Amino acid sequence: MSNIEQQILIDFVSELVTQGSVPASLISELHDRLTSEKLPSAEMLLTVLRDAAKEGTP
Amino acid sequence: MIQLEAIHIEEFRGIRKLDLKLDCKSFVVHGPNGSGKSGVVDAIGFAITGTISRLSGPGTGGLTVLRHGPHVHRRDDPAAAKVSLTIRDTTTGKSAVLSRTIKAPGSFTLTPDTTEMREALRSVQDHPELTLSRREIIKFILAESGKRAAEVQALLKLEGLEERRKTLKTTLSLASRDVTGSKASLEDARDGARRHFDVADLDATEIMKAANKRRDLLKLTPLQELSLDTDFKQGLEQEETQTTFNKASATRDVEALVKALAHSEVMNDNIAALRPALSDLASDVTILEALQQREFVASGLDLVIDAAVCPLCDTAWENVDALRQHLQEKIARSDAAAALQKKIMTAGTALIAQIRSLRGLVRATQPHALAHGDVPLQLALEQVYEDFLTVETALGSPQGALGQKERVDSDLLRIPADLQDGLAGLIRTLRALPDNSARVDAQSYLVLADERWSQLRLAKAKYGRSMAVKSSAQTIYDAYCKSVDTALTNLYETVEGSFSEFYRQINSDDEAAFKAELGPSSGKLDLVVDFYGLGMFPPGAYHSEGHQDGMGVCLYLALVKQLLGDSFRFAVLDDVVMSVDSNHRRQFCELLKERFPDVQFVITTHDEIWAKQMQSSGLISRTGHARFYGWNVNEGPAAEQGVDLWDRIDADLAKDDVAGAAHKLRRGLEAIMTDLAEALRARVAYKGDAKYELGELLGSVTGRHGDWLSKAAKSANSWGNAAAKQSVEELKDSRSKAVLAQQNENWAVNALVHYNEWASMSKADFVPVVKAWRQFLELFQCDNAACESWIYVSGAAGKEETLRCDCGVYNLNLVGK
Repeated sequence: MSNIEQQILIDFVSELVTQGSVPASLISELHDRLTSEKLPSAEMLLTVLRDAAKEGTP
Repeated sequence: MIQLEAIHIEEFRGIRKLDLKLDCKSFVVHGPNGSGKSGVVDAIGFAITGTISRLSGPGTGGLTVLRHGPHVHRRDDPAAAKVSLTIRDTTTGKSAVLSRTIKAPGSFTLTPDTTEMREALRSVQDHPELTLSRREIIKFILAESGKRAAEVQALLKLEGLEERRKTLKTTLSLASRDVTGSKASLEDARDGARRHFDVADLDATEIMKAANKRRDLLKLTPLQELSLDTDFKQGLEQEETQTTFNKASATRDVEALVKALAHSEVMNDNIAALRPALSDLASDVTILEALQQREFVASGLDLVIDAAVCPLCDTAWENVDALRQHLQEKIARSDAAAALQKKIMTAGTALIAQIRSLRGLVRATQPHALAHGDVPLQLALEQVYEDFLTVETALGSPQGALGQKERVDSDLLRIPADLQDGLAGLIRTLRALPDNSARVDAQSYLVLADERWSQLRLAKAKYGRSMAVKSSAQTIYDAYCKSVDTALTNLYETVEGSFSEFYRQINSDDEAAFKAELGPSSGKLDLVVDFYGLGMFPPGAYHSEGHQDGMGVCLYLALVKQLLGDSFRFAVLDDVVMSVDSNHRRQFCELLKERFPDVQFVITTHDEIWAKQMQSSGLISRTGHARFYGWNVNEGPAAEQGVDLWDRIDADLAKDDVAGAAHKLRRGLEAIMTDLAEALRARVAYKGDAKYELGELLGSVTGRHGDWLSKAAKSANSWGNAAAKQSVEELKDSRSKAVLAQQNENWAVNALVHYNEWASMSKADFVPVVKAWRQFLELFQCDNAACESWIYVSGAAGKEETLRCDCGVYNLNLVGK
């Protein structure tokens, strides 16, 4: 991954943190997935989001 | 990063054996077309990456490195074809030898093999863009904006950005689909609850009233409030909760299905909208193909450059315009196909929702048929349920919808003829059942109420989660796009500035106010450039091919500078400057030399004047070039490296080849006089074709040189600088002697070349001629052997400042007091 891409992902994470509407644990998980050598599939990301939504539901 | 100290090539492509010494400095390989120069570029690329770009990509079907990499005479012996590069790690300054053979292109040897050296090598392997051909640079300039964005992002290693964006976008689409599905399930659950409670709306008061009526009968505590967690059967004994059949509720379920099937005409508007669209699709099978090939064909059109061969299938075309037109027609057809697709999907989506609702009613009815022993009806309902599911899935795509065309044209639902009768029979059966006791009826009512309420609670929770997931997906996608757009806008502003600056330097004489604008938007990258202050236009609109080539290199350099920063230390430019007009070559060389002093450029060109220009501008040293000529299949290219004019002439004379020596002297003088005329700003009668005879330049150069020395003498006098005055006088004296000697021998050069009198001239006759010319040319160089430039005039026209060489040893002030 190029330096520019890394910086963009850092900015992306900062933007999400600033907005505050996405849980910190999900942001961290997303960052890990998006910076991994093999890009995750959309289905896999959707599962991550669903799991996060389940955790957020009483 | 690495730089090249030396190259060794054996039995590779058109080269039998070749050694070049580069010493980590810029280097030019020049020679006529077909002389084997590209073999050097291929060899460098192969040694570094194990691939040969010329043997891959569009139009190279059937070509392989293993079979076509070795010299044709060694095609059955790939082990004999090898390349070794002596490389230097620019960080540590250490050297190693990198070797690779065609037999094992996937592996290489590195001696010594250290972690640091592998790291340095990887920095080049990760950047294939460091080898640049003209075909590639022009892609940045003339490509349409979407393709340009892809090319530029690939060069900047930003392809991952778009991949991630697409993945996040697909995630958002999947999340939206989940919302649609869970919303439909929620509606089904609501319908089920409404039917059971027999209410028009899920009004809390009405529901509690209905439930408390039964609870009161059973002497249970009345419900005080209604929430999704309400337990309708609270207080019932365990055995009382086993009663799950409620006659009235079951009857309403079946009646709802009968009513919905009887009013299926509500689908007619959507069916009517779908029919003509499917007819259009069925009438031309190429529409579907066009939809499937849309993206593929668009990428093919971008790849068509100047060859009449389709880049997608290698088919040869009569001419490139016909090929372009063919591909454009395909894209136009796919535009119409896309509009048709939209119509089909709009009507299809509405029908899917309607069929899904019917399917929900079928599912609610099935248990009642099963419970009352109507096996044929249960099987028929099962079949209808599966059939509806199949139709729903099919309507989700144009191709699937086309498969349902016959049903859409005749009877989409295809309800079995006896289903209605079966359902009517089930209703009769239910009604004929003896009424339960009021107590049992109340128990089953509460049990079923709780079941439907639970389904509603679960459906609502699922819908809520799907909405939360969609909301997160949307927030994430928006934040990502915002971060990318902000970063790319800043990045392109920087690139835009460097690009404009570089181009202005090359074209300072006529485009000093040049500026470019890069406009990133939605995966595209528009490029417009200033045209002589008359407006901003696409680069291909008015600028000449030569200017476009210049732009291509400048944009490339700006991008690589942005990508690598100070790590940019090596690049191969494969004939990329072929079209740059002669007026701007020197500036181009100066751009590379001044802006990228630490970069080793390996440059190929078929133009000898270009090679001379690179030398005279100081971009390459006197030994930093190899001349290729006389390639033949058995021996490969004849090549000379760093042999200057005098050495080549001496070599000919040593063999008594006076004709060869004379030819080299004449050709060499012509090239040198061109450089000197430019460097000294000689006044030459203008010729449209810029082809000047030696004699036409010689007089002007000699005269102008004299003028500058006189001006330097006047300057020295005005400043009272005795040392400078003496220095100029010595130079004038040397000039007088050298010019006289040269004039005395000049007849010989003319005679040799024009009248072929060389046959009667011996080596002894010719040696003094060479000596005189050598002495003459020394007038235009300093005494520093390491300085390889000709002297030149600095300062603007009319405001000349100095007559000097690159190293500064020769430096005469031209400005008077």
